[in-house]
Amino acid sequence: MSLAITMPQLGLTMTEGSVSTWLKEPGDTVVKDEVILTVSTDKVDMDVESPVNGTLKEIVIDVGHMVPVGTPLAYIEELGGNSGGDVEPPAKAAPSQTKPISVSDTIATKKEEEVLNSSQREQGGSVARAAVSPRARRLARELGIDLSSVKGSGPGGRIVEDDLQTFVPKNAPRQAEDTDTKRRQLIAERMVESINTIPAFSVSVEVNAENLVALYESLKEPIGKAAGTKLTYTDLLLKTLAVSLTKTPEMNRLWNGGTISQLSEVNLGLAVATERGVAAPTLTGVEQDSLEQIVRKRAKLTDKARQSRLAFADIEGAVGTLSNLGMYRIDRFEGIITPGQSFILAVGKLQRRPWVDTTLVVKPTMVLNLSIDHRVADGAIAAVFLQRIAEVIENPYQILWNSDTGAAGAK
Amino acid sequence: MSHTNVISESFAEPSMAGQRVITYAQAGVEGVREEMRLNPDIFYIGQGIGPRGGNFQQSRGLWEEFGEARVRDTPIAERAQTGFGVGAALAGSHPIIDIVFMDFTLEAMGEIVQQASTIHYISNGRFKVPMMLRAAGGGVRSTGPHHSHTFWSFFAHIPGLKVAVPSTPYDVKGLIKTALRDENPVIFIEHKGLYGSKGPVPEEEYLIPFGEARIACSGKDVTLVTLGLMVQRSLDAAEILQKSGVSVEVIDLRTLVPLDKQTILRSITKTGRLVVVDEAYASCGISAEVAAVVASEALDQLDAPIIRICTRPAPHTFSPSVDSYLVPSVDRIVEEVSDLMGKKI
Repeated sequence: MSLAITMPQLGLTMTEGSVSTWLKEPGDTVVKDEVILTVSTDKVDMDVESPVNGTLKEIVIDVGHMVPVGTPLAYIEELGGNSGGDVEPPAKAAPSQTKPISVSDTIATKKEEEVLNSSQREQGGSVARAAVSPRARRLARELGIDLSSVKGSGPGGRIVEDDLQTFVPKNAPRQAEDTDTKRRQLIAERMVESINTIPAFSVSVEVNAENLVALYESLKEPIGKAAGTKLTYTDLLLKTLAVSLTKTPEMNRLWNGGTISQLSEVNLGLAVATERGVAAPTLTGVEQDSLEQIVRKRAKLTDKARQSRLAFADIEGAVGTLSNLGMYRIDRFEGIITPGQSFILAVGKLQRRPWVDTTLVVKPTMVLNLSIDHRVADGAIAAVFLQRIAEVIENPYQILWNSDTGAAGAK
Repeated sequence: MSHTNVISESFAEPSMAGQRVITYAQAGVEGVREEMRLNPDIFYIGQGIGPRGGNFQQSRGLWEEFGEARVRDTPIAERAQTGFGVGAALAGSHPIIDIVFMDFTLEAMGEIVQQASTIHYISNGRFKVPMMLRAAGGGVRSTGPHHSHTFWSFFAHIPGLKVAVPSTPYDVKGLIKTALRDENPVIFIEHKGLYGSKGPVPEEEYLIPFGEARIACSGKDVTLVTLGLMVQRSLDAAEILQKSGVSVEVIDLRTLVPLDKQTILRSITKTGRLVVVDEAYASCGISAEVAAVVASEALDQLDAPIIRICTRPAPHTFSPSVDSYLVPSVDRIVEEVSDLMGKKI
């Protein structure tokens, strides 16, 4: 195969140049990357190297003739004929004095298109410069496809979306999605089971959280320091629930296939939003824990949940779940009871709202919605339980002195 | 070949059986009539729109119904007509100014661009110009450079003007009614080549909101964004391309301002290829605007370069053979889309 060495374009504005020296004569053997001529323009002189191993067959432009960029200057008979394997990468012009330039433009073959296509097919070396549609480029990036292994079928050999279909790796980066799908399926099954099997009802109340805010403000510094992680309203609400459950042992019960079992400690689930769906780790023995201990436990479990490292032991045994969407602009909502549990407390945003005291005032309030399994408890008990929760939130200091009370259900 | 005939045939599809079918011109009259009955502030002036019923029958019967006080012929003085309309609008009326051939909107450009479009802004919203400037664009029967133009992009360039270019009788009625309820100036451009086309139009009242493009035919390989007469040519081209396995989605913009970017972008996300077909010139036209929107907001969705099929950059001619070469034809659309798809058809 015969390769043409053409006048390179040295810089954007160059339109013509001349050969200043031929370093080889027809019949000479040339080695890949060996300088075979120098060209000169009005600005610069540049060495031109052979792109291949072979023989200089013919010189068509003599020294001193000014020719347009792209004009064939000489032809090289490539060693090993039509192998094509050595065609890429193309000749490099040795930058003898100035900036390096790509002189892929300096070679062309008499059958330029064929060579380009075959080199794309066999090596993909020139694909970096081949046309790739932005859509295909995006898809390749998303799927992690190496574009140099793709042959373009679009006009002019452009790589288009269709060309990538066969390159979608069979087992590659879709793994995470599969796990997510399973997680989703699990959540779906549990929720459907809940809706189908638990006769749930709900009660709700708006509470004045003024004192809770004051307590939070006074404790966040010292507890944050002691626990090494931030105190949150969720921690206060967990403790509130534990205290209220201690006072309402009728709610610290589970429906157990026809019988009711009384629990001896307060184990609470906490709904945690993760990138891969909701998880609900369990905090055990909350009624025994100081606030500081709750902060630590909660932080550890939510971290585990977010990293998908929850063990089975971390998620079992809760009597009910706390679901707090207070970080969103949600006034009130209704949770779905996790199968195997008795209630879910849904807490909306803590926000300043109108509040009727002796007069109409503005207070920080939140709306609590308690959903309960009617098999476990009736409406009156649910009402008493939620009322206690509301009382604890409005007089939250008891969660401090109440923190070392005995077991919840024992009394 | 008369494009009007082709279009009329295309519209007379079997699916329209049982529905009332009227012409594009009749649909416009009906929309205006309904609004004039509802809103006594609307009046209609223009050249030959009175007893004559309009050059294209676009006002037929209005003079008879509403009388000389509300439907009145004017001298051939577009700037005076438009200036009169702006003043009347400021004083509380809702004028329809019919320029008839849109080529002559140029005579009124100062009133449109410097007055009608700006008054809302310079009065801080205290004054509004609820005026519909109606005109007919596009070439039919090689009427030469002074009666064939499609200057819609001139108006789309100007903040403060809304621009509608309906392509079907149904759209004419729905859009002209919306135009007549706008508090600000609307440039309403019908196509001369479509006035005789027929289509189903409900007798009851309906409005088509501005800024909602219509998906005239759904496809998955390439999106043709177009308007006016070119909608039908694009649909005809889509039918031919379908036979070669190229599935074309045709989007009829309906209004240039506001421009329904979302429908265009959604379509590009599906097809990956954009062709804009516009009877106006390519340079700085609505085709350039659509291309720019897609290039800046959906570059990653493009699987091919954007191409524009527009009237070639030369004045319209009296020579039918030259004029049909200048204006995009069904054949040219088929050919350019085939090239884009890398297919030989």
